[in-house]
Amino acid sequence: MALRYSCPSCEMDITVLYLEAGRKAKCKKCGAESLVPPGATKVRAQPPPLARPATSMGEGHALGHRLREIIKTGFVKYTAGTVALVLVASLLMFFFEYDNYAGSVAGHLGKDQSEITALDTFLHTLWWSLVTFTTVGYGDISPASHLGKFFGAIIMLSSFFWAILLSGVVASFLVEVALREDDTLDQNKFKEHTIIAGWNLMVEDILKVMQTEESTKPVVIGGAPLIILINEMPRDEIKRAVENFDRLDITHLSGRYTQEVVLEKAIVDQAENMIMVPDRSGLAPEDPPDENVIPLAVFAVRSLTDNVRLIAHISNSELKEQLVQAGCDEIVLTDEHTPDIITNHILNPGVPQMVEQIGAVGGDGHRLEIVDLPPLLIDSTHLNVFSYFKENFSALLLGYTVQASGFDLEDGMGETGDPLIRQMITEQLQQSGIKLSSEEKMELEINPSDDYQVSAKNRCVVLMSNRNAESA
Amino acid sequence: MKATAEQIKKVNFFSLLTDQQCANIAEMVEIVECAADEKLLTEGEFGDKMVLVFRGQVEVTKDFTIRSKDGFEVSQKAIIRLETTDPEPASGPKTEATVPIVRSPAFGLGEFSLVLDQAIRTAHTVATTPVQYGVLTLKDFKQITDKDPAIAGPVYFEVAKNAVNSLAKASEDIKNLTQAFFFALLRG
Repeated sequence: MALRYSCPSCEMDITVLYLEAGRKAKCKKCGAESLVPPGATKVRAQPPPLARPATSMGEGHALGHRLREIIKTGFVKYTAGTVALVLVASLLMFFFEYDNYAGSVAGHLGKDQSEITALDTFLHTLWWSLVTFTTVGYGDISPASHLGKFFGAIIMLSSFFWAILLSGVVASFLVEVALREDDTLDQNKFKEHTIIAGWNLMVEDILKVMQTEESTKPVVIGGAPLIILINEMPRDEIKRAVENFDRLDITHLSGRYTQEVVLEKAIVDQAENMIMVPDRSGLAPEDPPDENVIPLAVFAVRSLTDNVRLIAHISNSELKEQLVQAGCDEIVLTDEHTPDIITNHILNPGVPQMVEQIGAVGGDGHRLEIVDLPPLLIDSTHLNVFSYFKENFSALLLGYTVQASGFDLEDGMGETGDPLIRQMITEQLQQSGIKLSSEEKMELEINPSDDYQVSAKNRCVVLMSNRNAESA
Repeated sequence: MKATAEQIKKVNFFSLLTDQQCANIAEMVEIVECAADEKLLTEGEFGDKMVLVFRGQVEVTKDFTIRSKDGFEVSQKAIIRLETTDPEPASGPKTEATVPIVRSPAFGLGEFSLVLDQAIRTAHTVATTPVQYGVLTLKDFKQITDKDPAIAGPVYFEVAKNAVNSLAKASEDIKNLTQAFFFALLRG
């Protein structure tokens, strides 16, 4: 995510990283420094040069970008540091242990010490530094004087810590390269898509239900629902798992959905829905998936976009509150209703069976559907709408979903009134921890009273038999 | 020292008057000087004097009850600064402006005093530079308009225009505050 605003001096567009809000940025054209306004337009950050497809530029350019990108990374920085450390160590030994090292190299070469040049000695101290730094430690030469040993000890200890740092940097560099070398998805293709983050057996079931839903609709070329799967499963396994879902356009993105770079690759800010499930990919069969990362992933998504509808599936009910706070729209708890179903089998036999039947998507018998309110019945009463569905489709209207509209207080106030009053309102609300905008949310109205007024915001929850649905 | 007709004419409320009418008003207005930081008007007080600023800069502030770390407190917030341009203030302002500065040749404050003898001051006004100003009381103005009723029309037209603009803004403020109030009730 990036921010864009106009330079106050020359009005040229300045694009900066999202994290730069509130800091100073320099205009490339006129060089003027200006504060990045917190209200700057949010734009999608350009992918880093490594992630750009090579076809968009000459190969030479791509290589140049790649080299520059590598130079910028910590890998190069730490490698340069390593070389510097080895050189400093060599120089220290050269100055403090000259005679010792000159004698040693004379012995190695079978020459008299008087024939040994300063270069021979320096190369020998360099050899010692490398042997020490790499922890190989041949022992063919070692410092003899107290001062030499003292510096030797410092060099050994610092090289030990340096080696730890370097191996960490190399590992993260390799991970980064692996991530960037994945296919970059076509930004023009992926809009209003669904992301399924994580992999477990239920994902296949979700895809099956989606496929069944799609098979009831006429085929539209290029109109198949776009689905991106994010997980660490081997590509061939995913390919096998999804090959039968020919009514869905499925793309696999390898990576962990808690990583912002992966979410950006999945073009999450253009997605319509994102389902997060406990991720079994990349785990041994006996290891349980870590559900605790799901709230973190929700945070990561919400830092990128507020537009996507997030549905999280968890089995640990303690995470529910965290997910709500992080900005998850819907939470599905495994087995949440099991105690009710079991009890109802005893108390109200028949109810669980009925719930099971009407809750199944694409079942043969009756099913629940969400239907738009017929325009003629807007502002009418529940009784009228109920009769409409009963008489025309023999369908049973159970209730409504009501889309409570979102509201942004700052937009609502606009530029009206005294700017000081507006500023005080926003400051005081923010200080009290009240967010200045409320998102859209869905509410349910089940079997309301007959005179309940329906509006254009109501959608009808109707129990239809498949036979009636066809005629509708 | 009395004000001159030219000085009176520079104040927007009297800009539609003839030179003679301005001279009649000027006769009633004594010019006084005050130093920076001196308070010209106090919010909440009642008065029957309109202040005519001929030279200098003033800051208009209002009291607001706001929530702070230590509970609720009354805080003075600057709204605007007014500055004369003809002539400009004798020296720069004592403090840097944090609000917009509106400049005009000369300006009047507390114009409602020309309508009511106990008009409430709706804001504090403090001099931010040395200020030369005159005071026109309702009693003096009535005396002038009794002699020359033609003065009243153009002056009250300007006062009414200001009042209407303030009312429109106040109405928008009430709308914003009501909106914020219900929003806070729902979100709080």
